[in-house]
Amino acid sequence: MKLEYILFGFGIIFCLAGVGYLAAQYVKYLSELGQLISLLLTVGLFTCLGKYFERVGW
Amino acid sequence: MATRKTAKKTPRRKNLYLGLTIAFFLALIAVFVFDGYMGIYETVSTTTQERENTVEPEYWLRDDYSSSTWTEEGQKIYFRYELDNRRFSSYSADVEVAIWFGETKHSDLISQAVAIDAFDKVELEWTIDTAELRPTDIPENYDFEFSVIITRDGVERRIIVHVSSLVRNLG
Repeated sequence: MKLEYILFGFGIIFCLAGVGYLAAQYVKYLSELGQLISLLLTVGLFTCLGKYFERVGW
Repeated sequence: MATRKTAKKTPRRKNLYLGLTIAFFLALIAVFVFDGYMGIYETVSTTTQERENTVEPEYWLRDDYSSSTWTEEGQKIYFRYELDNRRFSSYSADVEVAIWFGETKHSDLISQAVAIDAFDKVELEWTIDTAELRPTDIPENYDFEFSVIITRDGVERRIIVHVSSLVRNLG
C-alpha cells in the first residue's frame, strides 16, 4: 500500500517536472507581456486550486 | 449541524474555485496560442535547379545563426523573402540584403524601407547569378561558398550558399 503511494508520488513529480520543462521551453518564445500575463494567470490558477483543495478538506 | 443555507453554499463555493482554476488554465493556454501567433515572422525561400528550399520562421527561433543551400556554378538562385506582420499595428523597417565572402562584403543586393499594414505581408525577391561570383583567388576546379545576409532592424539572417565547381564535376 505504501509502495503504491510512493510510486504515485513519483509519477506525479515526473508529470509536473515534464509539464514544467515543456512550459519553460515554450515560455522562452513568448513576448515579455505574454510572460507577465502567463505568470499572473499561473498564480491565479494555483491560488484557486489551493482554495479548492482547502474547501474539499485536504 | 449545518443549516440548509450553508450546506447549499459550500459545494457551490467549492465548484466556483474549481471553475476558476479551469478558467485560469484555459486562459493560460489561450495566451500561449495567441502570443505564439502574434509577432513579425520572416520566411526565406530559395529556388535553384528545380529545388526549392524554404526556411520557416521557427527555424530562426531554434538556431539564429544560419541556414544553407547549394547549387552548381553558373546556375541562378532565386530568393524570396517574406515578412509577415501579425500585429495590430503597422510595421516599418529597413531591409538590407548583401553578399558576403567571409568578413568581406562583396555587393549590396537590396536596400529598401518596407512598411507593412497590420496582418499583412510583403515579399522581396532577388536573383543571384553564381557565374559572376567566383573569387579570383579560388581556382576553377574548387568549390566556393558565399553568404547572403539579410538585415532587418539589426537582426541578421544568414544563408550560406555552397557553389559546386563545374570544372571539377565535369572532370
